[in-house]
Amino acid sequence: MTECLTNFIVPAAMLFVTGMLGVMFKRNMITIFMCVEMMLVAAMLVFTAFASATNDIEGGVFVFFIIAIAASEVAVGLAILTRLFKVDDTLSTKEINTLGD
Amino acid sequence: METLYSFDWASVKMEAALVIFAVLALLSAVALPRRFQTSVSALAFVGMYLALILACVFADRLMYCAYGCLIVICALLTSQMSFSFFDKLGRSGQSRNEYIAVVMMSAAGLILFGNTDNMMVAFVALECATICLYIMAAFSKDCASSLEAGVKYLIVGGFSGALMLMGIAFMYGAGRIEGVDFMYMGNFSAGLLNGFFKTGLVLVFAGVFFKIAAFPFQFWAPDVYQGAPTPSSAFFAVASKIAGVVFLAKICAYLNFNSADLLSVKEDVVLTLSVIAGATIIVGNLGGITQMRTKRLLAFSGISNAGYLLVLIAALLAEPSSAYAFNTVLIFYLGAYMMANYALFIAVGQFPEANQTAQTLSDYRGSFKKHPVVSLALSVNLASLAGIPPTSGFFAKLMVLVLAWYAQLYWLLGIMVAGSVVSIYYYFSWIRSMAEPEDKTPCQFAPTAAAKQTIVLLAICVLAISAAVLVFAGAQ
Repeated sequence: MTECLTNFIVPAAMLFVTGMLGVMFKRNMITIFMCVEMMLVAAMLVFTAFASATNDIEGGVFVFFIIAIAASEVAVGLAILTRLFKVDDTLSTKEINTLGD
Repeated sequence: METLYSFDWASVKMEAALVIFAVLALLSAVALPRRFQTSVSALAFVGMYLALILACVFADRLMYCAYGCLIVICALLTSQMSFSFFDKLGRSGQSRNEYIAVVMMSAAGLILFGNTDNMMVAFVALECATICLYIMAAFSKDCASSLEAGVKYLIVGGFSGALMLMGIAFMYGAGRIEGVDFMYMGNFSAGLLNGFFKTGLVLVFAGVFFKIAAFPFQFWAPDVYQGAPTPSSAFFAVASKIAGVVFLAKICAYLNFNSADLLSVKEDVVLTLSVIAGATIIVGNLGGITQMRTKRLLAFSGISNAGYLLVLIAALLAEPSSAYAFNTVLIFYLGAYMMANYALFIAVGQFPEANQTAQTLSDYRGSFKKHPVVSLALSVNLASLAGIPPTSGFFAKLMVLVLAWYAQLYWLLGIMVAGSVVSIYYYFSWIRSMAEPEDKTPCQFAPTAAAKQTIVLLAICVLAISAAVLVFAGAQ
């Protein structure tokens, strides 16, 4: 059981860290947003791994909730990003800086 | 087996009222022509008042009802602020009603988030509320600063949500391996020696620290509050912060460190929380000192208040016997914070331009002469945020200090007092600029009749509650 778990937890952790680094260092808003979704996918993978390793349904069901939430987050997020692109003509974090002192 | 009829619907009465009326308002806003839009807003307000009445009439769990009422009052005040906001934007009543419906759904999510005992429900409720908050931040969709605030909130919110979800996943896994249901908060104490569980709990706390803008996750707050429409900024600053703090408080109230091998864990947890609380207070107050833009100033004020609330939570963890007083103090503090903050955000919204992104303190020059009553009421609210004696903000801070004293967190107490003293400087520079004579440009501050009434009413509440505390303390 433990060996099978490690096979899933390690890639999930790698996905999560990749997403986290992407959010911190990428310059394009769409890429950053995709990295956020990647972090969610990593968490889903952990849920599924634990659920199947311990023969439980609850974690698998929760993954469906997360998929629904992530989908609505993407819908809202892409709407905001396309509006921002129309108004500002850029999606680079370097050039979007109207806020501040 | 639970069925639709056996489910205890009374336990979600406020959320149900809010969501049902929000959906009704949204549908009728789309379906009805322009001249009915005011009635649609009235329908939404009926829903919010109904939630308040339900909470007061069927007050089964006091903490739940008090917390729910605070969130619903935030939603009411934000909806009221949205009227003048959309008038200035020149958009129709339909988009205002859509906005109010989103506020109500978000409020329902936040109430559920602060009340549930189950981590999965908490996550779903939080995300439902947060997605509504993204929409609220980006609502003036032709304004670059509002969209930028929306995108920043989206990234930060998504990031913190992912951290929290990863934490919940680890907690779930730890529970499955140990055979304990760690999705239920009541079992958390059993997992404190499990590595997976501890990692998960740290990630969940980090996610919530993002939400309440605690150090080191506070950097987004000034930008988002500044760029978002003023009614939304008020909701972020008050409602979502209240929800995060109540959630943390609930987890910490469930943790108990009674067994001997948990004593060192307890010391570590208390120390970490105290350090974060102290750093949050310092960062918030230092940022506030040099700040001239009103909405950013309020954001830094919110950061330092998150610090004071974390002091309260650290005190609860260090001294669990204070749990009974803790809930009262928490609700009292949150109530005082809400009233003072909303009065200021309403005042920030009372300028001719729609988005107050560039508003500075010097824009308030001459307002004491022009609007003496409102300015006096604003000064009372600022004094309450600063913690000056006759106001309720003072009593709230005093109670936190007393609990921190009992918990023997003396150095944290020192930081909190020093932070409050520093904060007096920037709150009073706001009062000072209201008292100064206006320059060549005339004072633009023009509160509407409704805004005047609300600000004065909030100031009276701030004073009346502290009078009630004094009477209560005298009777004891």
